Amino acid sequence: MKRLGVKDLLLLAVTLLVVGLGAFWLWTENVEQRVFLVNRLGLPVEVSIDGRPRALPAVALVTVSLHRGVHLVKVRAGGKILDEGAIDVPGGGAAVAYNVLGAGPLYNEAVLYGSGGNNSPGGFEFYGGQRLVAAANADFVFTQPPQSISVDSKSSGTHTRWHFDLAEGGWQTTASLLRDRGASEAALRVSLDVARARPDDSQAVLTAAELLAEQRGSGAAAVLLRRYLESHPDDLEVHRTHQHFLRRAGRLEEARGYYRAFRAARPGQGLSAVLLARVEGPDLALALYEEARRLDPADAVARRGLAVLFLARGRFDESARLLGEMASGDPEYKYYVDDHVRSLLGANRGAEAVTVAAKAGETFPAEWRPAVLYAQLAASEGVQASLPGPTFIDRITKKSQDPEFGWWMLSMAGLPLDDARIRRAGRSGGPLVGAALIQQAAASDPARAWGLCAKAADPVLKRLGSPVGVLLGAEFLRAGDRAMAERLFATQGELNLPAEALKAYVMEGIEDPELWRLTPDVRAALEFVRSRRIVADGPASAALLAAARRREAVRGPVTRAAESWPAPEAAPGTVTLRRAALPRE
Amino acid sequence: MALETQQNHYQVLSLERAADERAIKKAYFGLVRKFPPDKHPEEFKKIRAAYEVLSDPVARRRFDAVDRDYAEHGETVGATLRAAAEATRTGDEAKAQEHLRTLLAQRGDLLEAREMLGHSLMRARDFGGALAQFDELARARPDEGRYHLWRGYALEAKDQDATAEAAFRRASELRPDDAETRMALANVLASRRRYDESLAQIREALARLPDEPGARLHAELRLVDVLFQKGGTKDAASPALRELDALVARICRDPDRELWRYASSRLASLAALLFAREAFTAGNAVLSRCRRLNPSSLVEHPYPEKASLPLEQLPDRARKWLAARRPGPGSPTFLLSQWGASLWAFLASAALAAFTLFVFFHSPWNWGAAGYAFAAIFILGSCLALTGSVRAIAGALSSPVRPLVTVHPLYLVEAKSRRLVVYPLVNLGAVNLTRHTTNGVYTHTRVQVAFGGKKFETSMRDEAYAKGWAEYLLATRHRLLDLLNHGFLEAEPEVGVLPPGLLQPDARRFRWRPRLDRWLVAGTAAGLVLFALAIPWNRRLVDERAFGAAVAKGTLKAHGDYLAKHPSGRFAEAARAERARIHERARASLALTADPRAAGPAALLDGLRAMETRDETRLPVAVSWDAGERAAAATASDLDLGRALADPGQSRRSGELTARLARAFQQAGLGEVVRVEARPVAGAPLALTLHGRYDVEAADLEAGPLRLRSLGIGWRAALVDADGAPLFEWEAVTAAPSSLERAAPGPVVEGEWRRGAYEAELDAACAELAGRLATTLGLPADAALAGSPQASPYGAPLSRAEALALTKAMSGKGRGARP
Repeated sequence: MKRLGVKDLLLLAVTLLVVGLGAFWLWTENVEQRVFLVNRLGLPVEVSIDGRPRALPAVALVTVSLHRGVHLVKVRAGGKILDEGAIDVPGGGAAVAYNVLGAGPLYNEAVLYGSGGNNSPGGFEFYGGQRLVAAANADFVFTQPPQSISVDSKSSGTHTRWHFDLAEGGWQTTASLLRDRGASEAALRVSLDVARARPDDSQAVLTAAELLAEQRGSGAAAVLLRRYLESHPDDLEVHRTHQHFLRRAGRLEEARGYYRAFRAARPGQGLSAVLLARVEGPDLALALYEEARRLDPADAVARRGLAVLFLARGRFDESARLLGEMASGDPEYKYYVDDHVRSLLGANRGAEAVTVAAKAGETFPAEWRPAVLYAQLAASEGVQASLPGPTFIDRITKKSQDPEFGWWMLSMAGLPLDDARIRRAGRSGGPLVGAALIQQAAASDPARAWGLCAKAADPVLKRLGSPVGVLLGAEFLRAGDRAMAERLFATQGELNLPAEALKAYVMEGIEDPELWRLTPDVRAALEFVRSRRIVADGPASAALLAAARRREAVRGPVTRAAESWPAPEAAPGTVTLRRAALPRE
Repeated sequence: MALETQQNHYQVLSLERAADERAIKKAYFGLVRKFPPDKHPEEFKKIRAAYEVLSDPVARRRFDAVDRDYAEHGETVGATLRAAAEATRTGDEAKAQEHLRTLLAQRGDLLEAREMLGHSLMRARDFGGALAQFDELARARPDEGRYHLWRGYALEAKDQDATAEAAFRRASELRPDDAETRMALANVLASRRRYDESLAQIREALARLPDEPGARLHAELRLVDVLFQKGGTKDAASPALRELDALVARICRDPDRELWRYASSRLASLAALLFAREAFTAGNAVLSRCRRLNPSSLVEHPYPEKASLPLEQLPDRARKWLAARRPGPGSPTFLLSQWGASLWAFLASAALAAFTLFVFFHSPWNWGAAGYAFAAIFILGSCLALTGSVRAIAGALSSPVRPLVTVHPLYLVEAKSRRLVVYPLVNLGAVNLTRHTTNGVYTHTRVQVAFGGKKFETSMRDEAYAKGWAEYLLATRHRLLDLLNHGFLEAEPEVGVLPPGLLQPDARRFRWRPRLDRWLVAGTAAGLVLFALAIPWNRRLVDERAFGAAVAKGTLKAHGDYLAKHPSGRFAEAARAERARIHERARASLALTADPRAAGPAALLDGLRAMETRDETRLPVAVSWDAGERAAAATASDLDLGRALADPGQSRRSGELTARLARAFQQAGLGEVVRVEARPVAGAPLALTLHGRYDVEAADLEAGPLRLRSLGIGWRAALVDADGAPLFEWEAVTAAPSSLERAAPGPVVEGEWRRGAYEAELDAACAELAGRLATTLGLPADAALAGSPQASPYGAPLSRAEALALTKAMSGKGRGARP
């Protein structure tokens, strides 16, 4: 045998190396795949892949190696199967993660590097809600991208790298982001799965209920909450939400039956009295609240309910007294500042109202409600404000460093916006910008507001303040666009009445017995549009308009609309034909 | 034993002066075997010099003429002539010419001295000087034909063919019966391409020659040669070959085997001439006749243009000869890369194999007939290629010969690891050297050598070596043809190393032999095994990819499609389980969504279970219509929802109803398991039937001249099973819209309001019906009621540019929707 020369050996070695590398590449790229197991459920689970179990702690990021192709996965927690199904693991070097119940907020974000070396955010893909995630172009996987990168000196301009990671937070972040990004069905599925996995977590069931109400209707949410209440009967927050959804579903009688039975089962309990009071009519509610107060004078829930009831019944002094008590100790007072100010205004204690609003602005520096209320109050007729209207809004904007939030608050308060800036932001801004633009338009021109609403996605409409949302919904209904009205009413989560009741009032003037539960500003919006509906009636319309402005009390969307909106066309000689009501089945 | 130094040619060959050509050749070959050139170079030199003179009739006559005593010219002149003759005999032509010139200076009329001087000058290749002497002789004796003949030879040697022809013709006139003169004339005529005249002269010469093969052989071969020239040398069935075959046949009739061998050597000489003219086909045709005449000859065989033979067929002597080749700057031998081609072949075949395996073991598509064919071809082909390349490497490792190229006296030899490729030099045509440069810097020389229709190519990185090698190759060929021409090639050393008999076409003719190469068997077996493995592997991949696609979509339909195509697939159970989970999720969603006050959800749930069992997702909605007793009123009215829904011509309205119902199912989370369809589905396990009838009392309304008839419609709805039996029945009443508005003053004319309001009326009624059906079934009514987006009630509120600019913000997917 001839001896091999150096050149021959080198060639042979290169050949074998190339063949070996090729085989290795084929194997690694197409056979084996590194897969990250992500658990953000907040409870330990066991993930079984093709029958091989792996325990994952409550918050986990674990790496496993899987063959490319289909695997059968089963997720258990506490002996209960949470999820099962197949996953198809891709090859090709993508960053692949198995996200337990889709609960982890996985994302892939483009990081742009310029010649200066600083990175800045670019494109964004969110993978929450997906069981198996494959990001084909991830450069930094579960590691922070560097501040600068080295590139070929000949290349210039912007360079994009992708950062694949988990956002802060757990399943709540995932559900929230999915909802914000319009993937409500995925958000619902995640939240329902999480609620099933965490049966004692009220936050999980409340989140699921909220999303369920958006996707399947308020009745479905109520059913879900009632199942939870069967094992957690003392959870006040869940009860309140349960009642809210029953009211929105138009199932008030069902709620009354349920809570009457609930009270009958707990005759001496203040909670049962308060809960029943929240669904009964005003007279009975008053008695129940007072009974609860008698049972426990320090019962904050009963006091809140009583204060709101007094305000709705026009008993402003009593309402102001109770709310004044709440101001000095109730942690939820920040949500009642608006009622307090309206009570004081109703009692002709305007100066005191300004003081209360200003104090609330100081006391709750991160809360937008008091800040917006103070700005509205400062702009109201006959009010002497000690501080400029936007004072607290500016403070929050500065503190949060979120101009979009600032614009949104300004639009809520009816204050002027930097039109050029907001338009520029509109090209890439989030849903708050869209909502601010609609609220700004709603103050001056319903036609323009309709144009914006027609383009707006649900996440934008959900960020409209309730008075603006109801005002526009009612106006569009009056103008003839029933579909748009339905959208606007459906996206106003704070409304605690079925949309049918609002529509009946606007179009027919039928007053639902539960209308008194609407907040004064929302009620004012309905009355304002009703006055436009009956503009041909002349005096009746004018009276209703005046009542609406009085009910709003501060300078809100109704006041602004009344000043700016063009009067509706009332064509002379309109023939209105009424048909006999047909029996309903 | 040694030859004596002062012997003349006859004495050297041990012959008498009367010996004929055959005796001379026999004596020569006997002595060559006795005194081989590698062992007795001096003796061989003398033997060869004697044979060169005596085998040439002209030279022999001259020699005989010289070897005289010249006593007839007196003592002084005779002594000078003898001295000149002695100088000629010893090969000292210059001395001979000096003696003769001295003598002619004194005796210019001495013709014999002038003849001797002319012949001496011819031998010394001083053709001009010889011509001058022969001219002088012809002037002195113009009627002497010999002088004109010699003059012709001198002129022919000077390429003055026309003058030479005239001289030969004059000689022929003076010596009409002299065969040599006619042959000389024939030669010059052939040179002038006057073949017919040449052939005629040869035939004239033959007619004058004695009828014995040895005496006629030269002329007959010349006849064949001219015939080849006349008819072209590529025509194997030419008259020349017929003449040649006739000649060979005549010779073969002679029992003298020595004559056969002599004739064979003359034929080889003719072949050499033909090879020199690059008439390779004709040359080999001539040599092929030599095999019959002298089958034991080592060299008198036809030569293929290229021959390849396995190394194991080489005789030991050849292997030793190859092993002794050494490369070097002055050597015609250079080495070839031992591994390059094999390794590149291995790399290419490995890449092909990797590609093939990647494609066919990674192919999730369903192979058809073409797929199987391609798979078989590629897998078998790549396995055979891979084993072939491995075999080449193994052959290189075990080869007794280092790959090289060298030059044998007969061949250009290319030794490879497993085979020897030889190119006989007799067929050598052009040698082309191409100088290659890169940016003006020499890189290598490309060498192309043509052997008839075959080509040998190689590259050399030393330009000087390439030129030297090419010159050596041409010189070797020249020597080969020279030796073949003179019949000395047989005695050439190394001729027997690679006997031409090995290269004979008959021996190399392809014959299929059922001998299985173990590499071939291994490669084929591996390919067949891989192909056999690839088939189930492909099915497995197809199955897995199909299920992977279903998993990616995650829908009931996708999993159903998978099950339809792979009912017994590896993941069929998982697909069924996933379908069951989807159905279970849908039922759970309905249980959440359904209003507890609604009467229909229980029946709907039963229907859903039936649909799951029957693997059906389509829920047909059938609408029928009965005008009832108020048919006349119905006909008179345009607000005829029932007719619009039941009438196939009103498919838009029917589609609207099913779309509204579909939205309700979708919102209830049943979109995955229920597809509402307006068309009937044969054998559907669940269907929704609607029967409308004017059976509700309606009020007649009057407003001035406008008369409307109220249209309360009673609907009987039912969920029915596959047999049409109702699972659940209920009734619903849809009222006509509660009001109509017209914004025109004055009297309203029937027909005018219809156009504007009719569609809206039907839309509202359709929505109302859908809402009531949904409510009863426990589905969200608002989804059924929700209509399609409408045009702005205010006109065009936003400009197109503004709407486009705000698209991102209004989509809600801007920066705000980030963690």
